[in-house]
Amino acid sequence: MAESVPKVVPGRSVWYRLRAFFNANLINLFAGGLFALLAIFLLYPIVSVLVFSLWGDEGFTFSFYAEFFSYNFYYWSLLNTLILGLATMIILVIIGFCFAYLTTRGPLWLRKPLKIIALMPLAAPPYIFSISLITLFGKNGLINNFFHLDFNIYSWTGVIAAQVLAFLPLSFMMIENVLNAVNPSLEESASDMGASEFRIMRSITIPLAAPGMLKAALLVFVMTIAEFGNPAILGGRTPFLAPDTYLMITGEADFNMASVLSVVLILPCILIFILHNFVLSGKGYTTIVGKPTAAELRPIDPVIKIPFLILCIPVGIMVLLSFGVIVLGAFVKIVGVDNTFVIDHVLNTQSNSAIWNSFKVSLGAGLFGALVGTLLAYVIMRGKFPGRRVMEMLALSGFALPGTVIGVGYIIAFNRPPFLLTGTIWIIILNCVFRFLAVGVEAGISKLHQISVEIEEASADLGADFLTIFFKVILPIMFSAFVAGFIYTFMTTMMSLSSVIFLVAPGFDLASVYIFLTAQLGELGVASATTLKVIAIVVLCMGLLQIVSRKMGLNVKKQGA
Amino acid sequence: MKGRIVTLVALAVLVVFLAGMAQAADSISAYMGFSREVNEALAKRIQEKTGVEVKNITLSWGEIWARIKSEAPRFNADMVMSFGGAAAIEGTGKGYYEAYKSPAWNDIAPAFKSKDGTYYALGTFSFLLVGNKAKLAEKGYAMPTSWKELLDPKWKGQIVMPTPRTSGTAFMIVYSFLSLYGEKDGWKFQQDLDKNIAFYTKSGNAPTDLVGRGEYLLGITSDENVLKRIKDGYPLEWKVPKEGIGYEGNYCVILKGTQKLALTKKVVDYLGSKDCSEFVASMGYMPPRPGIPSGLYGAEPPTYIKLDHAWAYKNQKKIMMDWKSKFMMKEAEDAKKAGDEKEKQQ
Repeated sequence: MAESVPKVVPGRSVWYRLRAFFNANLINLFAGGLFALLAIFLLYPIVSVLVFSLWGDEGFTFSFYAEFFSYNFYYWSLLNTLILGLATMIILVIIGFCFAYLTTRGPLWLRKPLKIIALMPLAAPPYIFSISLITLFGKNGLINNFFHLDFNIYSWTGVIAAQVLAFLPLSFMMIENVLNAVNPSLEESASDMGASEFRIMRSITIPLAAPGMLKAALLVFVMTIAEFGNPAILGGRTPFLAPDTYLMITGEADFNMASVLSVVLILPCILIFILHNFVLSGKGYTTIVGKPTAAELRPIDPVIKIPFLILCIPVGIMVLLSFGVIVLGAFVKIVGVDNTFVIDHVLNTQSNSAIWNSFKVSLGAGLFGALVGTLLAYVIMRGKFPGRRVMEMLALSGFALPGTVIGVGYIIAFNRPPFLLTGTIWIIILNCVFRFLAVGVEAGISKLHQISVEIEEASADLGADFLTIFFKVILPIMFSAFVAGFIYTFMTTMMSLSSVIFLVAPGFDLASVYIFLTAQLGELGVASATTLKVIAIVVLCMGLLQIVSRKMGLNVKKQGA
Repeated sequence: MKGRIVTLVALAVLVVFLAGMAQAADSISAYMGFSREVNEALAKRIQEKTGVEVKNITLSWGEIWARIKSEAPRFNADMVMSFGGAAAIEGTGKGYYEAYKSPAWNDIAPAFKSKDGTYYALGTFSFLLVGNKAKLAEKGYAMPTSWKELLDPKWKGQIVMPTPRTSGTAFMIVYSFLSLYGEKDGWKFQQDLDKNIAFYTKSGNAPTDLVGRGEYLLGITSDENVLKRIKDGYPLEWKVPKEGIGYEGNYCVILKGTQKLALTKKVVDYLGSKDCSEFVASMGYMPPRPGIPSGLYGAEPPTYIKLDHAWAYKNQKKIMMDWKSKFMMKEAEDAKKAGDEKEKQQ
């Protein structure tokens, strides 16, 4: 496909005509196909849930909404959820930025360890942090006992701390991706002209990164308010919407109220989303025209380095400690109660089939999700059809929905023809693909935000047809977004729980479900050992990916992810 | 170019490894609501004794019921082993279950089975008072012997129990107290108890672990895991308070429309056998067949509170609403009061 194709020559082969057809319509074809996919696998289940919030035993009714607004334990949970989301969002954007700034501009020896720490929480299910925090800071926790503290972890502090740890990688990945893409020559020239690093950061780096950081903030907010494990375990007496939704279904089996709670949970997300689009419009920064140049390493100013480190180090220590507790848990009898060394937990092979299933599902979801996400990003950014905003919103909505609700939506929607999928591995894969689509899409969009359309136009002017441009220009540019989407989907699927717990079929257990059940029953040893095995697999896969990419000349490491 | 190769390879991998899952011949699938270890042990036992492999998945009772409701009429499992009486009765009304009069259950008391053979109780479980031996000794407190003792202010912030919003065990606890003291005094008792409760856990088994780990001194908890936790080495002790404890059946049903009716019947027959009762008892449950000592309580059954399960199931929604307005709004009121005071100060 390297040779440029001359314009219409009559009597060419079918292949040629096919190619010409694709050339003209490829982006629209993609758009149509992606729209159909989104409609079936996101809209349809969501609508099913919406219908449930308005459809009681006696037909159409608003009584469930009336119930929500007449009892303060429902609307208090809404308020709490918003406070939690905002607090976590603000903390995570700041910490994520500090981490990302240090890993992209800090001293070389610090970059790798900081990056590894920031990404580590991805490898464990979010609710593991509650368990670690209880083991460390609970009333009988290791640290509380050691320093004789009377610190109450079953509180706002506990929930926010656990959420910050759990979603650090999300914030870090998004912001790092953006900071990596900021053209270093701008900062370099500012520095050459004598601007202080603080000034460069304030007037160049942050403004250029702002759209991406806003996106990161949006995702963090949405993810935090939808996560149910940490607020459920550490919330104590404070009600939150996401766990309440989960409890409505798993506890009271009340789909109607659960649907109402989910609809209420979605509203702030949509509001923020619209706001964010409004604020962002007209701020399409283009910093890469042509090839980005490699940055010359500048020593980082201590005025910035020290406060950043002061913020990052405690967080890093908490991450390490949390994982330390998991490792400890895998090798001692009962953490904090009976700390004798045992190997039984690790040798326990019961969880192996669940881990293997998780691996299959995650690989499938990662590949499929990254593909769909990248294509979506491209179509949304470069397509010229109406409804692109709607498409973007749809693609991101998977994140905004609490997993429990989307899980139930999937059961309702796909347990009947024409899409009879329940009980198969596909329903789990598709569920994960469309729930975690946002990261791939966002990574792709951030990438494309910063790549001028001129590169593509230049290729076209030189005679390349659309297919050639697609494969030779767009795909390589988008590849880092593809990898980011793959890694995120792969890792989150490995650990995703809230919706798959409804979709796993008898005899087809998943590692996350296994860990949740064992942890819930207090078998921290087995849970820790299983988590450890999963972490090992994830790390192995990521390592393999890097080796393969390097062999193929694609520097994944540098391209974010 | 390389990006394309990677994409193609990725697609190829995707297609190849997703080849279908093979189904074993003599197997049924079941939603199971005991604790995970019991589920796995029971499945293994069934396979040993009947040759039927039980592909199982561990779910909470609420989850099982949520699944059944949303999957009807096309269920993704052949059986349910262990879920609550409310779901067993309501599902029977909706025609979700296959009726099968198993001869193996003929000589078992009617309390453990439905008249038309739609559901059978594999056993019953209860709730208990548990305490952390080490921490109690440290404080010099004795283990309470009656529910009333829990109202003593010295336990303030030291008791955990599950919330009925999520836990079938907790719902049973709530209506056990209502039955024990009568509706009005039952709520009064629970409101007084609430002053000493640190918080309500999501899972019926969670207080066992929280108390076992020394986070709290006392817990009102499901008896399911107590035996196992003590064997694991947690410094736990348990008590049946003198007023008695509540109980609830672990029901099993055959889901209508199963392709493996003959196999499920074989399993139901086994569940009624003496061997199965012995197994269930060894796990700490009270078995349907009399005269088999329970692993937890021994040969003598514990003191039970007299319960009207049918009344509780019928009024579940109301009891829940009452509970929520009494114990969840209270916090909101406290918060409001605190806010008002703050305003006054300013």
